[in-house]
Amino acid sequence: MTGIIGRGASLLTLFLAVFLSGGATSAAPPSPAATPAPAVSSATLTATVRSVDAQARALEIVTGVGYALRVVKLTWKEAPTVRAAAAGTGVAQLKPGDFVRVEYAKAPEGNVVRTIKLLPRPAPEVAR
Amino acid sequence: MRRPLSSLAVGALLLSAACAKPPEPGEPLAGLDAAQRDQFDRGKVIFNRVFEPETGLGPLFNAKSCGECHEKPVAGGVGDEVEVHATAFLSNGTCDPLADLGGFVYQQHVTPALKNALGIDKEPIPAKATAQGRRSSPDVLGFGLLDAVPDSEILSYADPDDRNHDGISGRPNRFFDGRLGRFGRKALVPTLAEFNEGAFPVEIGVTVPAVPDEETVAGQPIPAGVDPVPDPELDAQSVALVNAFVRFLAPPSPPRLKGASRRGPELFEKTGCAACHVPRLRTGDSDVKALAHREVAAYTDLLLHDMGPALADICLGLASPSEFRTEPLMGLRFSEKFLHDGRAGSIEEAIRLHGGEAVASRDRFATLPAADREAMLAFLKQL
Repeated sequence: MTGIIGRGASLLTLFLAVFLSGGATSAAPPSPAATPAPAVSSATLTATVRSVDAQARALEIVTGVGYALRVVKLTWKEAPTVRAAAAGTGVAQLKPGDFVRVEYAKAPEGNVVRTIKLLPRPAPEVAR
Repeated sequence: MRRPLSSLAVGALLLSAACAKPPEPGEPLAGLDAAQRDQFDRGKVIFNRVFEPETGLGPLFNAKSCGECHEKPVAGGVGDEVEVHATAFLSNGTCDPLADLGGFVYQQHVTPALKNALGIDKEPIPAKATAQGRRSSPDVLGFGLLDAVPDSEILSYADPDDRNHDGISGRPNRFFDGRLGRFGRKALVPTLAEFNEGAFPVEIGVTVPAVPDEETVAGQPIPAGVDPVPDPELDAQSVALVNAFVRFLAPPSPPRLKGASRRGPELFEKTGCAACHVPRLRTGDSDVKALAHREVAAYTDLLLHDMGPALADICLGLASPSEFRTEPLMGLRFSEKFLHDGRAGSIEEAIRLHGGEAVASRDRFATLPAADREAMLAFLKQL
């Protein structure tokens, strides 16, 4: 493959593959210890909040490629702080429809949230 | 001696460029290099490749190939297939695309193996859906140019609060990661590449590297043994080639207006149709010279507009049930059915069914003298 396809598409494919598969972005090297720890990799997704249940420690986000949409289910051990313009936002303050960037670990018990950033709403459009 | 000769050569070049015949429907953009032309040709083969269960089709699907739905009069043209979308518009004003329940595209066909396993002929719509929408198959000619229009150009037409009081209040849709959307009847998808790649699993049931898992059956996993082809069922190179084919398809040639239709563009402006169906957009920078800094006679602003309750169906992203992206009118000459679901049998009927923000323009069209209406319709039929 050359030109446009070569660079553009391969980057896009990599980007999207990480998006949907929740693939590893910084997989740790295998531990040399005698008892191998379960493989944990991390992934980052920019997505829309579908639901949040702070009591159940459950966050669902929607992502996808074109019309192929997927829900990614996440949980947490300690309530993560949501980085946002307003200080002190907690995960319970997230609402369906919010745009978020979530970094999480893919662990045997599921996708475990590491950080959440609440993204600002897009700037108001220019009036014609 | 050299100057006049070189001037002559430049003049001849300009003349030949000016007289160059525009590409016929289905041909590639003018100005592609040899490698791009090769990608176009090879991508067309995959675009028309018919998948079967043994090569990855299904187990849920709407069509067996890209070309099955985009076929008239050429590969990349319109089709008579109509698919079904369903979502849930929630009381808090947000839209659930039912992604955990197989949504929002509900496939209308299944492979024999899935039928044997579940006894279904198509994917069932979940009870949670608040609306269904039918979607016709548009042509995709010139969509590479739409892909190359900068976000800033699209946003320059937005006026969500109707500050200029013209009754038109277009606003952009956003994908689930917040990027500006432009493709699809609700302007959900930001880029042509994503639209194309996502179409393989959703429309044909063929998994690709970016979407390596099959669609579910309304949220239930595919039964074991029904789809034995290893995922992904299509490799990245093939996906990229199909994308190159669609991206490099030339837009329909400019209409050659004769007689009364020559007054069409002026009437289109006068009635206010051009406020949303913006006649020309301009592309920005592109790694493909043939796509960079070109005018595209798209007749769309790629924004969402309220079309009124009679046309309303599903929500999607930020789009409410009654909001639709302004349909690009380039390629209108190939259509036999009109509007997003093909409910209109003629352009005139489609105009008559416009509601919401389009009411004033619709009514202005309706009150034109008959000869003017005919002139405008004659113009539209040539787009």
